[in-house]
Amino acid sequence: MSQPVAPVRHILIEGNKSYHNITEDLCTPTEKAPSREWIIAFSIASALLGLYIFAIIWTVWKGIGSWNLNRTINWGWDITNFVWWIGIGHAGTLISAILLLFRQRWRTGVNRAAEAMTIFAVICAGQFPIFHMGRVWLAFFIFPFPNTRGPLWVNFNSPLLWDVFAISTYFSVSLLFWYTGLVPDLATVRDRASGLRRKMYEIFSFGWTGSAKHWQRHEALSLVLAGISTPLVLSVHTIVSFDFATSVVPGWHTTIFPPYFVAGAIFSGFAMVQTLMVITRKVLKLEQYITINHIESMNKVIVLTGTIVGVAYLTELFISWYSGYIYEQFAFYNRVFGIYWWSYFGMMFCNVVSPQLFWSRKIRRSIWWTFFLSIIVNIGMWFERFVIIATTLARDFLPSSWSYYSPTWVEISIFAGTIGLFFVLYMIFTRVAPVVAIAEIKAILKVAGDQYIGPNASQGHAHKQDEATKKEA
Amino acid sequence: MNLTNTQFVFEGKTKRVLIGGMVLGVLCLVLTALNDDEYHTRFWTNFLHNSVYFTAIAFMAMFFLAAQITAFAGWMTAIKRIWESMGQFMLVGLVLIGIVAIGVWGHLHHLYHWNDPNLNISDPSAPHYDRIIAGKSGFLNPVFFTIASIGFLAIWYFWSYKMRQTSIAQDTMETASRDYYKTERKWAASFLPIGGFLSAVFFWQVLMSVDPHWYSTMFAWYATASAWLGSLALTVMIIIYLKSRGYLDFVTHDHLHDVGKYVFGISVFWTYLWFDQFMLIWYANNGEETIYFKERMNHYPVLFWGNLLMNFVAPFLILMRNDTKRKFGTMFFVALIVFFGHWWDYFYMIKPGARIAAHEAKELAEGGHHNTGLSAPASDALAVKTVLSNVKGEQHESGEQQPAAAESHGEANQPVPNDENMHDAEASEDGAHGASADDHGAAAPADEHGTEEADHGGHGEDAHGAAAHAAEPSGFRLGFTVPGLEELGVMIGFLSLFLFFFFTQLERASLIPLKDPYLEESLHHETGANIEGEGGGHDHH
Repeated sequence: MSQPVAPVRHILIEGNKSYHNITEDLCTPTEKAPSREWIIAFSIASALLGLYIFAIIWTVWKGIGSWNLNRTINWGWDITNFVWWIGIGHAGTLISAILLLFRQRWRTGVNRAAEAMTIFAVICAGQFPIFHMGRVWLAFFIFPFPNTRGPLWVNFNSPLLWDVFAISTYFSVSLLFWYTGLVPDLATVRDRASGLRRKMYEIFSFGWTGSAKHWQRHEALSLVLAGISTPLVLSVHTIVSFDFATSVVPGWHTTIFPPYFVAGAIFSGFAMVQTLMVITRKVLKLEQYITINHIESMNKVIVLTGTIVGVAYLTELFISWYSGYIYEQFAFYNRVFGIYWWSYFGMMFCNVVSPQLFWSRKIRRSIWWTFFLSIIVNIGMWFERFVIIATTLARDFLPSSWSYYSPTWVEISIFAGTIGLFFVLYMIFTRVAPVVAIAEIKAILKVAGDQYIGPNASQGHAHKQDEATKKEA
Repeated sequence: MNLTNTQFVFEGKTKRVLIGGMVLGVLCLVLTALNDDEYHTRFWTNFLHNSVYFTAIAFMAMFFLAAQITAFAGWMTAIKRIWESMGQFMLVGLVLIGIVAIGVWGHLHHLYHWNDPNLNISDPSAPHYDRIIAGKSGFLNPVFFTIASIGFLAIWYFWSYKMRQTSIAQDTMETASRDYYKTERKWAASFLPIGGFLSAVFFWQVLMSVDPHWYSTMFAWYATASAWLGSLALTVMIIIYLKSRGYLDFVTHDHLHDVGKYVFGISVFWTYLWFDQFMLIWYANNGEETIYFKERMNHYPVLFWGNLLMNFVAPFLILMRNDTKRKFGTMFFVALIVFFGHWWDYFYMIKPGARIAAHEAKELAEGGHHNTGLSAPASDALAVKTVLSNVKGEQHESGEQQPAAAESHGEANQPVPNDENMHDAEASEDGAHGASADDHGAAAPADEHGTEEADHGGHGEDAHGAAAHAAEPSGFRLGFTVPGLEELGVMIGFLSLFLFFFFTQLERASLIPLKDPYLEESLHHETGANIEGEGGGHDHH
């Protein structure tokens, strides 16, 4: 606390909060009856979830034939959506692990919600490969354990199996990390509750008392989990990219895929965090905790990762020409000018061009622009996966097999349904747990809040300048 | 906190030592040139290798600094001037790479096979038409080379000069103002896309085109990560040196610790990129891509494995602990390994390809590939090459080439291969070893490669490459298979040049930006690591 903080730094907690105010502000949403907006939004999400359940039952009952996949295009919306959701999950891990290493204090405003989002996104992602298996009751065949199925055994050479391990590890570690952070906050909620509610929170907070020993263990565990999470940020999407890049399919087999998928995942993840945060901070009245400065920082991450993805797109395009390999050249010609040209242009426009607007400070700090562009990026990243998967498969080596793919109502419903699933989970989360990490916010209050008490505190400059901009916004 | 000794003085003694280093470098360059093949391949590859490596180090110092400034990093203010001064070396790099570019225009060297005057890329009906290079000639030509090398470097240098000027101007401002700070942020942020996009093209043009038939989308990022580590390692060594001379009292164990974390983290990142590139190419087993690693693994095993040992194993194991990143001695040692290791990595990227280019140049000069004295199977392999390069990417009947393969395999006492790539790969490896061992069999490896490509049903260019570098470029040769003493001398020469220029730059301004808004943060920087027996983790004097 005694360390000085540069006067040019942004203020991260506004409104002259006391520790008690923080507890009040962040616990209240879990204690009040839900607002009308919440009920309306939850009803819509539940309806979509209902649609999801219906479409899944339909798929299992009728079989995968109810999707529009064919022998040429054997991966379509299912894998597109899978990769899209997995990518969205990455922001949570990046914020909780990598930004922790980089000592980015603004992460405390959004880490809880982003980590929750990670878990829900991975749940949504997992639906697609599971139901794409067709006979979903045999899904456990993907686990290598001693069995009586004779020669049926997983293929350890296949990146699809690596995915099973990568994603289940990712899910477990993210869940543990998120829950570890939640324990002290759940205890805070418990202490304010009574009756059955208190009992429930007592169980879920594992009898946390806040003793020095508890904190010591909590911090040791958090550090270990952060250490494990850091390589996971890279490994999960790297292995997802291997699903494509280990093949010899032109347009898929390219060595830049792993880092470029990771950058794209962080890009789409931050876009989804923005979408959620812009709404959450408004509905739960958390503008003083998730400030415009948080939003600006995330927009900077978006423009950075969007541009990295742009370098990768252009690299691929250039090297396909440079390779002198006609199939590679054709694959990219087909992406840009082929039957699915609109998806390529959608991808380029949404992912590379539109984020460049964030070079403008005014747009970066505008709520409406942020929300609008975050949706654009979400769409663009969906297009990216569609371009990679459907466009490439539609024009394979054998022209007689060339085909066109468009989804059936079942596939569309499943995708829309996972969005419902995601929002149902997220909205329940906002009702049962503090959306912003109470303990972590309190830890930075005197360092990065408007009550900074370190050396040079009297100058108070940054904060005045910021007040001015805030009024502007 | 001692902020008095902030003016670096470039002493006469240091100057003399560095001039001595440069003289040694020139001597070694002359020595390699005198003892060289007719194209002075060893001389030119050494020149290219060191020019690119040190220029890239300067570029990455600037790029990393720009990223830090953009990200509101406060901790690094105490060492900011070091990166600023390192970045200025791009001016010298401009001259060095400019010499390579002049060499391209004047055909003074054969570093780049695509620039060979005897190469046929215009007449598809002629026998030695190189379809692949012809297809790339829109990019691989002297004009584009000039743009992508010195053109881009000039742009980067301009940005680096502007950032440095703004930073220095800040020192002299009289009233507290944020103007310079804001201006510097603008230069830094705009440098990121400029450096990010252009560096990829720079590395394709200057490094990847040494192997003109080969390509990898990862290559540019891989080369960038490598230079980044060279830059970080040099930073560590410079910090420790300056501290030993009584400067930089304000740079503490905590700053060193954080630079050490970067060395550790980026080493893992480099390994990640290395692994992705290698594994994806290995897994897909596509002839025109695997040839790059096959060549290096078979004929340059010391380079190949040494690369991983120095750039992954050493920093990973040594820097994993907290305390090693805070010890000056250990950090200097690791930085030395990593700095040398990435110099080695650039050596590994350049030498094998340039050696093949020189060999091909010789063959072309002697009237194509019809070398006399090769056994029949060899010319069969060449026939394969011709066929392949005239048929654009279509699947081949590999059967028709099988007899040639059988013969050559027989010669190398290998079983007749079938269509499985695995077998071929093994056979080829053994064949190559045989050839280098008894020094007779130019033919054997040529055939092996030739047929292997045919098996892949590939696209000619690798068959071409493979057949061409059959004889000479596979055996042991000092300065190519491993760096020789002259290479070390040349490196010392270039390093001395780098440091000489660096110190003159460093001398021009205070060692610490005293009016930087992050100054206080940096002076009180703590990593939070509690290491016993370190006097509280701070190096207060």
